[in-house]
Amino acid sequence: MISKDNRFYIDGREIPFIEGETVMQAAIKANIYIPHLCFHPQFTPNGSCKLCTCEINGRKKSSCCTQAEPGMQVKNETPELLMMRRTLVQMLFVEGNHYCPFCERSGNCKLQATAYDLGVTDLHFPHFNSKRNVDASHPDLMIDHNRCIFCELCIRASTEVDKKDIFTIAGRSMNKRLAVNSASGQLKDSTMQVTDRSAHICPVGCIIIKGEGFKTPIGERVYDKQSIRDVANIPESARQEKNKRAAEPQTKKKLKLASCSLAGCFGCHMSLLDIDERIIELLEQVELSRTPLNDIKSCAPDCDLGLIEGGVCNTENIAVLRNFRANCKIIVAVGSCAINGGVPALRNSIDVKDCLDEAYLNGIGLVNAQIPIDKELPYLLEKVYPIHEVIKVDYFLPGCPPPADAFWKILSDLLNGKEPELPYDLLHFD
Amino acid sequence: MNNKLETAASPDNLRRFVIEPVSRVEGHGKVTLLVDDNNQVKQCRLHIVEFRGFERFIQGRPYWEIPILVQRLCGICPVSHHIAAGKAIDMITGVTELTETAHKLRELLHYGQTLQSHALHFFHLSSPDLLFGFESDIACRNLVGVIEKHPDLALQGVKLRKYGQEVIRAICGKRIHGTGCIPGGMNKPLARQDRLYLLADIEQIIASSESAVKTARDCYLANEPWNKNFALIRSNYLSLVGKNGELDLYHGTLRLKDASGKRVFDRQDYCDYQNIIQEEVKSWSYMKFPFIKALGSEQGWYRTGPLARINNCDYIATPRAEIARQEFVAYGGKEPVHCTLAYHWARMIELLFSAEKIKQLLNDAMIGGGDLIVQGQRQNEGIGVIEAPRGTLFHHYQVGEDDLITKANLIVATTHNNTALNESIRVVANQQINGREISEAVLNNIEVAIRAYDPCLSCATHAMGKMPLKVEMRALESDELLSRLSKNSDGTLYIPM
Repeated sequence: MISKDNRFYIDGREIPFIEGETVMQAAIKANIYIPHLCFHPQFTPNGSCKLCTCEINGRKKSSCCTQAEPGMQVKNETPELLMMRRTLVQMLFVEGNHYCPFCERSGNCKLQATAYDLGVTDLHFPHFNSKRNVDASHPDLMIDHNRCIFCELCIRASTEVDKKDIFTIAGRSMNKRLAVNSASGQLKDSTMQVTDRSAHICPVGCIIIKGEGFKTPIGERVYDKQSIRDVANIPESARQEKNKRAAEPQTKKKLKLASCSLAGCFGCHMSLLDIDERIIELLEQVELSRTPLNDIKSCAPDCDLGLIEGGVCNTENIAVLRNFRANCKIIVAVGSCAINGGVPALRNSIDVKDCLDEAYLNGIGLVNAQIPIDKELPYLLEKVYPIHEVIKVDYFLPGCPPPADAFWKILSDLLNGKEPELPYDLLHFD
Repeated sequence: MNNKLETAASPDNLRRFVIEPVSRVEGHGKVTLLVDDNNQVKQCRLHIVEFRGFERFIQGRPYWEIPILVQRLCGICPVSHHIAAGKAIDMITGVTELTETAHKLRELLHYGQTLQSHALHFFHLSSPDLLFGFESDIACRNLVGVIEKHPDLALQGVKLRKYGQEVIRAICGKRIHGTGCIPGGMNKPLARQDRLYLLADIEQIIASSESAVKTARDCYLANEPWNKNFALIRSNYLSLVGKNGELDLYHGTLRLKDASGKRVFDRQDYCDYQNIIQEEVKSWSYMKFPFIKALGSEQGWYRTGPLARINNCDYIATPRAEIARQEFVAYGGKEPVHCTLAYHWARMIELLFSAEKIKQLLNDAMIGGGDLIVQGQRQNEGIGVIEAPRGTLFHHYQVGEDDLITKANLIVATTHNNTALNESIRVVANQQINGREISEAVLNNIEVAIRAYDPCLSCATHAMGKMPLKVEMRALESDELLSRLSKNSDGTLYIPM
């Protein structure tokens, strides 16, 4: 029974609750979305991801672990909480190795969907480059530890539903890891079965079913068409707007645009060309400085806009990047590689010498095997870095590659002197 | 081979020029020239300067992830890598024959990408050289110039590329880096509305492709004696051909013709490639130098890509492209066409072929089927080979019991052409640069020769990813940097202090 007194308030809205319910449980019943990753209605709340932190009677508390009380005042959607939640998601991304472009959970991943919902376009922090392994020993299941976010849902599912107690968290700090309860530590020696609840609970691409990858086409995945708050059947409430910069005055002169690709695949430049016939309209409004499309080899000193594709993998990339920063008023990091190193950053967990050996010494059918070294070849960096770890970046355009319409939107906004913003359907990490 | 230009006898006291980056190509390359006091080129090299390490870091990833992961080698022809890896993992899954629908969807996908890639290369990247001249004004010598001076041609290129990209989107869900190939088949059928949407424009696309062949041919023939000799090299040609010797980009067996047109080998199973091809490593480039094992590195280098394929095949199974092929072959006479600039012409013949194949496939009742996946007995090794837009593409993977990759070897199209690219720019150095004062326009001749191959320098360095071009001068004895030539943003040259 909900008595008259059993009511509290979320962002001023009156919410009924049953005694013993948490703020999160009551919010879900009332169709209010509070971002969360470690919470699942079927399992005991854990309070570990902290994304559901709200301001409850003036204090910041996890709403999944706080019991609702009559008259409680809860603030859920404030600019401060939005910033905090964004930061938490960014920290999760840099702590593990989350590369959406080739992850089979992409489009169905709660971490990714939450990031979309919070409007996360960059990772802000330096990447940890954690060295984590893959346990593919089990015939039907695989654990890719690179993608674990320590939500502990698998632990709870295994204990509470499967009654098996297969998982636990071991180690601390950088050594923290999901451990498997078996003599060898490998999944194949545990009692885990593909039918277990714990095999199907992972919100990210860490515990996956073998042979299921990529079977769902792009466009039909859970979050392709609807945001995570829509999936939760919660009407979209007004999203907090980013702190707006003062819009620059609109100029009639053509914008001077430069672009380059560092350690990337040129897919982002191709996606820019995917604006199709609109390229003609664009070229009427911009003047090109150095781009891969013409023969200008260096960036003009008075560029308005520099688009950078690719991460930083050698000394020459650093020089080019710094040159762009010095010469462009606005720098946009374009695509996964520029934003988090992307696929080339996979080498970050491996010694660079190992990579060179594999390509030039141990390769199949090699003659004169040697590692190339010449004064004309720039030095390789030990790791591949996102560009924001080298220069200041003004805007981020995520995606692998970003959709053509996202380029169009960002460029149109900038040409019109507006603060660039991406709507949900143009924000992708894959 | 022009080996003497690969390494100068005495590199000291030579001035060094660098073209960096090579532009209007995919990826990043750099050309260095060592030139003596009489402006005679003594050394000329195309370097690939970036390393990515794909072979190593895909070890330990599950095999079904590979087609999605490795397509990110390249943003222009991701579909090539997606399909070649897809064929390799079919083999790992123990599947030798796909369902008819899945096979045709893969073909449609591949011809869609060939259409877009060839259109991009010809219209967006190379046409400015052919329309305005190799040494024309830098301000005009690009897509912006084409849009201004030849708006209809530019629009034609944009629309052809768009159509190819739309074919890819219909099958893979995205134009670039989508998903489609999964072990043993494809992940979704072609939607009826997409099929109708694509059919609506196909006649226009075929007509545009036919006119593109004409444009490329006319550009070439307009100045035939000059174009014929520009960067001319005689080489072997390697490609897949179909069962009956026809042009086939998705599947076939290996054929090698020598410079006289004689078949050195034919009907070779590509799974045997390790016994056919070896790769040499040179200290000054991250791109390896493949050659035919039986012929050795001196004689055994070869060219791949459109020129090789049109030279190698016996016929094309679509009517308009076959007419175009016959005209091309007649031009060559008894020998294969060796002219480097004829790559553009051959490429446009393949553009037309792709457009006609797309029409055939869209009209095929089986393309709309729903039977997409076959199961098989798991194997430990898979090899997938296709004719990518730029040439023959080899993907080879070994897998452990736990489904994780243990070994990978990729030989990509542009890598096959590495020796040929280097040879071609050395010919240009001799023909166009020797004895002249070096300027931006003069250096563009080198880039024109490189562009003819449509190199994908990101792919070329699957191991690597970037390749820029620039010019410097060095003292012969001490190797001290004497001076360096760079370009300003407006294209003017300056010598940085």
